[in-house]
Amino acid sequence: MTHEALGGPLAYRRASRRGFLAGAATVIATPLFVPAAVLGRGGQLPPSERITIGMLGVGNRGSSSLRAMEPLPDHQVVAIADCRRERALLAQGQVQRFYAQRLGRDSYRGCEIYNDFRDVLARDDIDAIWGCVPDHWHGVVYSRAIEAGKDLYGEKPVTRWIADGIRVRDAVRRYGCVFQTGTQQRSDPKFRHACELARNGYLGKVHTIYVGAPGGRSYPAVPPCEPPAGFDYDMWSGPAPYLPFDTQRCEWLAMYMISHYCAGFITNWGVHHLDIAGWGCPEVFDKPFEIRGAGVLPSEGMTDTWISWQMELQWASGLKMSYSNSDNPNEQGCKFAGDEGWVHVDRSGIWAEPASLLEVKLRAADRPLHASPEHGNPYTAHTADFFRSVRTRQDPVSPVEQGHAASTLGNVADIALRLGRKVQWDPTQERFVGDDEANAMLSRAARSPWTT
Amino acid sequence: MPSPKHLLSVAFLAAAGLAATVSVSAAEPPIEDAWNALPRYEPGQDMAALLAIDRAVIEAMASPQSRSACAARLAQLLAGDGTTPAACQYICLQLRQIGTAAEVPLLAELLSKPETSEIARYPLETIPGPEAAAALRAALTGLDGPRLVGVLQSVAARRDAAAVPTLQRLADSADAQVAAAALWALGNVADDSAAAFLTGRADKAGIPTPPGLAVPLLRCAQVQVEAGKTDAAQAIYRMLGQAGQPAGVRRAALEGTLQLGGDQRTATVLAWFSDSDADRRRIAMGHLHTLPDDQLDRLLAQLPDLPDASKLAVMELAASRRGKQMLPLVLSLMQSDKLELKRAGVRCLGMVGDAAVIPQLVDLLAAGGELTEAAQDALLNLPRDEVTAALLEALGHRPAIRVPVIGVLVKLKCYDAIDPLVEIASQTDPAVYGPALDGLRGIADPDKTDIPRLVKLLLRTEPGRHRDEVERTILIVCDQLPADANRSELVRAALARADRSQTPTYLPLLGRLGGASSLEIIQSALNSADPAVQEAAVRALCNWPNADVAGKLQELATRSENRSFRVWALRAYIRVVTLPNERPEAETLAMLQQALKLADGVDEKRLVIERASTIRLLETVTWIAPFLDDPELCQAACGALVELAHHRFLRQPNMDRFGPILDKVAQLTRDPTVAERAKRYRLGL
Repeated sequence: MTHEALGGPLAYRRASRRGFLAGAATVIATPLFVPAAVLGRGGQLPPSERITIGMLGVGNRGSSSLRAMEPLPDHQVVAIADCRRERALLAQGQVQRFYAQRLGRDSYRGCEIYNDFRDVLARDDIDAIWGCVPDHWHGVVYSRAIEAGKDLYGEKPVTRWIADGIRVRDAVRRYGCVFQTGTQQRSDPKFRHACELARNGYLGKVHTIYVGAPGGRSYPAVPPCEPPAGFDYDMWSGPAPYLPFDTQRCEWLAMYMISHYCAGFITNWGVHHLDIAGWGCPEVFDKPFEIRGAGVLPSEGMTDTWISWQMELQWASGLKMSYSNSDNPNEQGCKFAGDEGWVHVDRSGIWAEPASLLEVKLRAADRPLHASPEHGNPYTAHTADFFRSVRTRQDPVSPVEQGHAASTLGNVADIALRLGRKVQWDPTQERFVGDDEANAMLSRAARSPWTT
Repeated sequence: MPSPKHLLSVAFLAAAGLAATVSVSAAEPPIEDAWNALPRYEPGQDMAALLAIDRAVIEAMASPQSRSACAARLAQLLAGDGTTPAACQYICLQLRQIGTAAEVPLLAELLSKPETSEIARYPLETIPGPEAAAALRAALTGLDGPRLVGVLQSVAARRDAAAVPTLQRLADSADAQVAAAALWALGNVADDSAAAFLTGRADKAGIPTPPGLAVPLLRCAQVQVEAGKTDAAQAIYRMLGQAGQPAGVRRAALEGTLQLGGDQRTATVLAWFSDSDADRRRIAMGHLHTLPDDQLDRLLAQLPDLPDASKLAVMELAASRRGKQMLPLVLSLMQSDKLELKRAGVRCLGMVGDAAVIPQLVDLLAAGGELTEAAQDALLNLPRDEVTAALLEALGHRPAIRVPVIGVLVKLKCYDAIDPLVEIASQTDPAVYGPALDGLRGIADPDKTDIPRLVKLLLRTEPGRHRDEVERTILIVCDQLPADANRSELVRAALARADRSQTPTYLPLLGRLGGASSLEIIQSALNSADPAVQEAAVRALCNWPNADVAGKLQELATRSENRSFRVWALRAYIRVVTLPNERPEAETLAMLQQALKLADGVDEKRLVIERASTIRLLETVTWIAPFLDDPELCQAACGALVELAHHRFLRQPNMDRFGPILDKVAQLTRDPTVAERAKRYRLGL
């Protein structure tokens, strides 16, 4: 397609759309789904018709998740597990105040708190689990939740270790559960638009993808001390190797920078934009690639994950991807470059060349991507999409395979950097090609008694 | 933090073609220093030495000789008396990658000791060859309690079939955790013997199968499937899929049954879809989209007898596949008394209908709630020209559905709606002009066609809220221009023929738009002898979109003889200096401190405190905190301090300062949201 066919280059990004719209079809394809409201929801509902939720972890993400749910009807958080009692109590207060207000009552007491997540999973009155535990817990908690017959909203990355991710993904399909990965950018229309442009040929042939994500940072080492009262640190450590408590390792942001708990932002944050790369260009997830790169680790302190990185990925088709921390040199976000144009999308906006690409409406012959219910806040839209899937049993916008593939990209980049050489990843086998050293890094022994 | 030179030294690979791959720690110690430091490593110490050893281990993987030498050196340190527990843990994690059979005897010894058992199994799980498996197997008979559970986990990870007899024995252990771990391991090994043991035990236990047995059985079934032993897997699924099994287990088994269904799969989906068993219906629903067309016909034939949720799912699928052919069925669905069925019918009408159904959908815009939304969505899917014509007709003649009609016109970006919307927006009833202005904001473009029409509307609008909303509409449309565009140019061009008497009407708009040319006009109006023009000029200045006019506002705030002008200017000054800017934050803080001195009203003082929350400095916190003790400013201070604490990069390193302040805020604030945020930030959330 030429630029002229899209309405020609325009003086301003959103200056005038008459030329394009006059000649374009505006068919909006409709994906198959049964809207939640169709199934009898809406307004005040009897408890039996709500999706009952158990929150596992109410730290940063958990409390954000609670706020994201609030605008939506037909849910009820009935249990919270957190090994930090103060956090659990605070979240319980937030939940109970919210439902009291929604129900027009003075108070509401329908949300229990627990220290051990297994007590929540054992409750058969809970439909869905929100997994907002630290990354090193994802494999264990997600597996147990799936085995307990729950549907699951699982924060990204799907797992800290690739081998655990494979097990989680397989379990989701084996148990027929609904799994929404917490890659909520997919529920933001501008990300979907960028990916639809890339997938439907509006950029011509996509030859390069540029991904930028926030870099890491170091934290000074601090001496061990006793954990505060009400904090079950042994439980927090879970499957990770046990090390004495200190005031920093369990806290934002240091926790994300210690490899026992997280692969660092190269995976934890990067997965958001890597996911968009794969959503817009399925080859990124599906086909074998070579990867090499360079990175910088901290020179001091208690953290051991990448502060900065520059990776190059290459597919047999000629497709390339550059992945770096933000502004080193890639700008934050995901940019698809094709031989007829480019689109760059980030949470703060979407840009394209030619600018008319921003106004494209898909044609009848194009393939639209899964659209989450519309909502101003993508996190709420992502939540609404999960609720819809729980009712319809159809996959949500971020199904486990895609979430796992995006998480794997970040973890593969981490492994390539640690090995300090080029490696080949084969997603069809989920192994590095002829590379025992790299394959030895796919998993880590879990501390007893936790296992994925 | 890394020095930039390290980054610069690594050429960006995309630019450098096949540049060598390099991974570095910014300042690794010399490797021998790192080896010497390793045995004394304690938690809480710097990790630089460990990162250097990481590199050494990876480099040693290059050849079997260097690998063995490196593993031996690690093992030597592991065996050393003075090696700290943290160093031992680290070494074992390295041996997990690089260990060989030579290290197994040492690891086996450590496996038997309570203090090292946990870490010893990390490498034994992955070291290739029979020696490591044998060491773990041997430990199954010598350990107990949590250590035995750990070893069972590692045996499960290795899927060691030789361990099955011991695992079967341990499945009867009196220690429930050991028994559960043994069953788990059997499910992972999943050879014929393990499968027979697990199914035999499940037979004996009856229904419901205990979860500790059901989950290993499901895992076992999956392994059997992967090995091609589908009959054995199917037997497990049949057992666990019976009524009375725990819901999660049963659904997994039903899912497994379907996946192994072969030729019968479609028939099973069909049968389960209309089954009275909710679990079966639920599983079938997830497979509905896989049904071939002829089977979809069978479901359509059963439509009246299906449960509502199933009925809708079938209709949606049929509508998306068959299009117009489904119109009669969709229309009959729309006649349903049940809202949810009716809504689905409306929604499907957009997928299967043609221009003939447009009037019906336009009528439905009056239905309200979900039906209106469904009708709007459906209209968007139908032929644009016919939909537009019908909506423009309705816009002019059916005020009751004006709001949803405008909603669709906006989504269609219907430029033909601009003139009628301008006409409606000129009416004085907010309920009438409000939606019309919303529509104009969504449709109009910042170009020579639309801006003059909007300016004309402004000039004939009475002052007050109505004119204010029109101004905002023009601003929103102009905001679509890129940041470097002259936003007022089109407006000024449209005003070229405006009557001089209309100057007070348009000056505030020019202020909102900003720009050098607008400022020139406003500047000269400030000196006008006409009080109305002068007041409009002050308002315009106070509307300015950035801090370019801060100096002028400060001058007005201090020198104007008109008190109202002084107050307006001060409030505007406080606003503009705290908009995003390139100025050092400390300088902005000083400007606000100066503004506080000028403020003689409590509202202005509160505004200063509130806007200070945009300056993310510890100095701001220190400055605002004392206002918590001022009854008039306390609530504003609570809000500002919580807002500052929201920024983790400011809060986290300064928790000693923030902690007591947040406690005080939680006590003093009258806003429950502020109190909750203060508590949350206090907990590091």
